[in-house]
Amino acid sequence: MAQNTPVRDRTISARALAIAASVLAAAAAGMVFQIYGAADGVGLLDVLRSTLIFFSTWWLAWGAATALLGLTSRQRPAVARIAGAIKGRTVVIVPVYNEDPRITFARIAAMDASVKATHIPAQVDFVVLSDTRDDKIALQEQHWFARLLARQNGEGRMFYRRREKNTGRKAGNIEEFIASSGAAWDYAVILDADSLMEGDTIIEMIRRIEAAPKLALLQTLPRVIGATTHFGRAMQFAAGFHSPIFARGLAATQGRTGPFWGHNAIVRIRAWAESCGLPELPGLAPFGGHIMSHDYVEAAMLARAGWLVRLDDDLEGSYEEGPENIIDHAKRDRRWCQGNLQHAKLVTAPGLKPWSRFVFIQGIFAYIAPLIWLAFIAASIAAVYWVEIPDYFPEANWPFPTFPNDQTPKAIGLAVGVFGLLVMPKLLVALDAIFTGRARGFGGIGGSLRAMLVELALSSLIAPILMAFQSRSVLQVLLGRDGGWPPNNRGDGGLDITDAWAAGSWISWLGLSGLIATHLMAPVLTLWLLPVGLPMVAAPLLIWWTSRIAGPHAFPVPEDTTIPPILTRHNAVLAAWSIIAPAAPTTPLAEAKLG
Amino acid sequence: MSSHAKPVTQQARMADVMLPPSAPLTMPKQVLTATPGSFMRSLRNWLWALAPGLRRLG
Repeated sequence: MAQNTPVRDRTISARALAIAASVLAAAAAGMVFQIYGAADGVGLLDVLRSTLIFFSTWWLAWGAATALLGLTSRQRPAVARIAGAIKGRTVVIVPVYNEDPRITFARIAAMDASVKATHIPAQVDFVVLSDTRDDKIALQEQHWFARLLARQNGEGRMFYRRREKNTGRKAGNIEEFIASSGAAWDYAVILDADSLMEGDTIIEMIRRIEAAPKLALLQTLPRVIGATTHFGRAMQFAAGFHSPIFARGLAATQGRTGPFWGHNAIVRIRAWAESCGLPELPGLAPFGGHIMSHDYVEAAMLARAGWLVRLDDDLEGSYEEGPENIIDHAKRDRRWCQGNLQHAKLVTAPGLKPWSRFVFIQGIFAYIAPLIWLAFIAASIAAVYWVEIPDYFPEANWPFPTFPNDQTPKAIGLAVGVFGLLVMPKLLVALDAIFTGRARGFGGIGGSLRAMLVELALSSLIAPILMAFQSRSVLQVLLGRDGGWPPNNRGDGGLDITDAWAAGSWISWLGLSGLIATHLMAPVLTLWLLPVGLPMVAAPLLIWWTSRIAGPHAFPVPEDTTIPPILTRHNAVLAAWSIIAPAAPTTPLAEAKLG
Repeated sequence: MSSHAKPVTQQARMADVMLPPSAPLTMPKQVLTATPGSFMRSLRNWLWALAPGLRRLG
């Protein structure tokens, strides 16, 4: 326990620093705005806008503080581990839900071969937990599982089971497996259907959890791979270039109460079984019923029971795929939005660590932040509309006019400050990448800087569109609309213009109406609102264009030039299986999915 | 194993090979709903635990 004290002290210092810095920045922004707004007297709208600026700046500053902590924290030192043979038995869990089984099971074949290639004697089994609702896809799953067994000689160490009812969705799927078969293994590597992990990484995770008896969950930072579109590759670049630094900052603040992102992590099964039985929440969906974003809650429950939950950001060889277009991103975000807002019911759950409660609040804030910005814009338009004409001759019989104080420099300073909080962390990460040599994998110094600036421009363009989708999601949840559990679309992501119009035309009309209303009510603000309004008007075009296939040199990532061995293995299995005829029924999977 | 997918005979034959072993583990449902006053109690305990540190700072 004594050796944990420095770790705990470092965590407390990191938290105190991040909280103090972000609150100070927010308070400064709120005060500057209050002074600016109070130049013509303090009104209710000024107080409201200062409060909104305080909260929205706090959120931006919190992100910037996390990045700064990531830049100043050292990479986690090599973790002490037990040498020699691995004693624990591990099962790799792959939950599937209407996925393409050929691609998913090829990933399992690749990971199994990769584990074997380490030549480390360890029992690592695999289980596919199917919640697939479509019988045709389920038949395909059985067919491809039989192929997988034959290819990997997997009988007795590779398993497949399908639930009749998908109660509790993914969390319920895993829970049912742990309750019925969990005692057969000591550790479980939890994956998503699109996850890939190197055998070396799986073995290293097993060694680390075996070496730390109080460690219940070890999360890796998955890198996004396989993106082909402008949107997908931009996200992939941002995840590879910026996320490791942000994750290190997150690890510094979370300490022993680390995060769980639902996949690409290893758990101690006994701890999981004891602590992670998820109850149904009272009331109806979206706030009641099954817990949607179960991962955060499971991490909080493990910490509540005294277990250690850790993010080891130094672990490489952990991969996942990301959404390839804005619509798929928005669909996933709708699910996450509902899940995070549902956590409002859990903030006061008994016995949780204070930091777990704070993590829930952060998750909620991530989704209501766009609404705060929208409210600020609306209040600003209203403030200009109702502004009183200054009285230049307040004193009777005094012939000289009295001009109000010019507060423009303060307003510009505030805008620059807020913009700086958005951009500064990315610039610092780029500098860090250049000085540490990390930029080499992202196209070198020039290439990575160019990609970073283009990504910054693209993300600024699509930010108002994502803000519109996110705001709609929040309003839908607050109005009690359950988003359900739509399957992930893992296709090539290309959209035609009619799809883009169908998904984004409401944003165009909203943006256009907003700009016209601003021009009529507060023309002085029209120019300020163009960076938000114009991308909204062009939403269908942007949605369509960003879903187009990008060139091979757009947004370079290290995996473009050095293909991860696990990906090479996966491609080889897929190539071998592409010449095998599919099982009956011969209905194409794409059709079956749509049906 | 679900009997949802057909044909049943083929599936039953496959199931012998495919199903994970039966090795039950108790997984009790956890309490996540706050009872009246429990949050305030936990907040008070937390503040109480912080008190020595705050006194030292003072």
